Amino acid sequence: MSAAIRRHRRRASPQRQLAYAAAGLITAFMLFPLYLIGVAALQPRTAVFDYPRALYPSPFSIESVAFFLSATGILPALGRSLLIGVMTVVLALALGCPAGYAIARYRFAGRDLVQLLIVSVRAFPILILAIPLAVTFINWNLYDSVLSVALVHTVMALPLTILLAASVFLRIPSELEEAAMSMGTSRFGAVWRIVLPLSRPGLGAAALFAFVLSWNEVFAAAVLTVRNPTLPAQIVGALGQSPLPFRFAGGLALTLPALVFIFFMRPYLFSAFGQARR
Amino acid sequence: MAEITIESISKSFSGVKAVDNVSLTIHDGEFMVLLGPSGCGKTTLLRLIAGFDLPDAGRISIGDRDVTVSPPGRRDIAMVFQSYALFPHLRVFDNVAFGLRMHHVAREEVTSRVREAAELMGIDAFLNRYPTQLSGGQRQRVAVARALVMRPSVILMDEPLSNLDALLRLQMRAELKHLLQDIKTTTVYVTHDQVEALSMGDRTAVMRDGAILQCASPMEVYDRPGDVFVATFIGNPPMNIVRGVARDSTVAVEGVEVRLPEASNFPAAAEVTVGIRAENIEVHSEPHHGALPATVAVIEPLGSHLLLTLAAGAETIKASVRTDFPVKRGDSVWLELREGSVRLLGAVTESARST
Repeated sequence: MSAAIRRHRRRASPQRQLAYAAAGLITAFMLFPLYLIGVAALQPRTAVFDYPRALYPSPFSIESVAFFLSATGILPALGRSLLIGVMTVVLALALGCPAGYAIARYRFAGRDLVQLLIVSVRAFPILILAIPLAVTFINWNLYDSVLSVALVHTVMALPLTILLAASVFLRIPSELEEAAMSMGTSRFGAVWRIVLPLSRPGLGAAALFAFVLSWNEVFAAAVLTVRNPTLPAQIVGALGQSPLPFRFAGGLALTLPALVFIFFMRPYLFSAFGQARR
Repeated sequence: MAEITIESISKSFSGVKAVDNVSLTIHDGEFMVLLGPSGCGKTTLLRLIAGFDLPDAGRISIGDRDVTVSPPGRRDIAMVFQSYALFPHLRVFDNVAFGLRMHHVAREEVTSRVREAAELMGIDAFLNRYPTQLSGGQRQRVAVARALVMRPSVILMDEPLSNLDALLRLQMRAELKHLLQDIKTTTVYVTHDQVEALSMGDRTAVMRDGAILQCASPMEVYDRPGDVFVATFIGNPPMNIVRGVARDSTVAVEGVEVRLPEASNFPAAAEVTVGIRAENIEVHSEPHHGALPATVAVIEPLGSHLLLTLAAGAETIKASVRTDFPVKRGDSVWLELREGSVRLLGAVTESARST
């Protein structure tokens, strides 16, 4: 390392510290409320009203959480939410990847229009779509089912999934596919064996967005279900009449699965094949 | 082992003709170089042979099979890309084995053939590495091994050496030529580097604006270029292009007559374009019979010889002389155009005269 580079590194280091400090602050700003919810949920029910607030659960208690989980309908709602989230991810990727691939690789007539239409799906407020959707699902005998909510969530997740997938595929040189095809595989085979493995980080991010969108979505879930609500729909419905500890436990239950999902998707988000890190 | 026949093939991209009615036969086992400046259609022609693009018109056969619209994987070709196109998520071994596995070759045979190709290319020590862990030269070798392992009828190469640094390029050039001569596989090699074209090919097809201007052996293309473009594109320095007046079997340049190797098509005196290579001009420091007087404008020592830039009347001519030739800037010299090496490159047309 030359002296000039070393000097440059040293000079860059305070800026870097500043950047780390800023990143830390932003992270704390986002995470601290979640942390407080977690603390409140893991304390005895009476401790919720203490002031000043405890910064860690002391004494530790799963009383609130157990009470929350044992409340009628919570566990089935949690299960439905997970199932709908996974279905949304699978459907959004299964439909979004081919669509994104077409936009990335083919110059077809009306390509720009299609791209615009895809984005414009998000322009329709779900509020306006809710009644027609409910009527349609009743006619199709899908009302109040897991599938109906998953379908609506898929539609909501698709624009972002398609555009993310397209941008991920665009960054993979088409020469790689051509090389694979010249060695005897079809275009589909080239996509399956070369493009998809290389797209895992980007598609992982797309899956993450789809899951979190579905997990957090309340309105469509509340309109399309009556006896079989998702967890957010159930909690929103019960929020008015429930005691404070119940709400904190519900908050924790809403946050945790998404965090766990993010934790498992993490390697796909940040691993980069371009880096010689293996 | 196969002959490639290309019959009046055309391809346009959004109205621009990339390849315009090209016909070419590449013989079995031949090393054919497609040479031309960027945008001349050489890469498009290669991609049409590979099947990555389909032609608008015309026919391509490999061996005795019409492959005009066959998918790339059914053409029995292997391609080496400029970017190497190695699969970054697969180890070198799996990169080389990819094609064999796609063809359902038995596991033991895959292993032995990959090892054989790797040994041939000297990459057997890297089989467990990922492409990003290799240097540019090693990646190049993997790309070639990946093509060779398929034992294809035709190997297509798209500027395979252009991403290597100069010294490595020189070494790989000789190595590739040696290798491809040994395995005797029909090869189509695209390059914009005229030195590569001259040194490697059995024949060179010089392309411009989607058409093949001349297709002949490298020495033929160098020595008897078909037109002014070929003459100036190939060789360093490019061929001297001067005006002359041709009649029967002589041509007069700046009033000095030189005999042509063969009778011209101009029985009456006609204004023509004349080409002569720098090394075919004898430079005399004394007046000489049949030599045209010139003044030395620039002297460039190039190690093996001196390159002189000379003003002879209205023409600027480059000539090379031995390094011990006594000359300095502003000297008067006499240029003798070596008999038999003067080329007529066609009549001067109205459009050419106005430029």
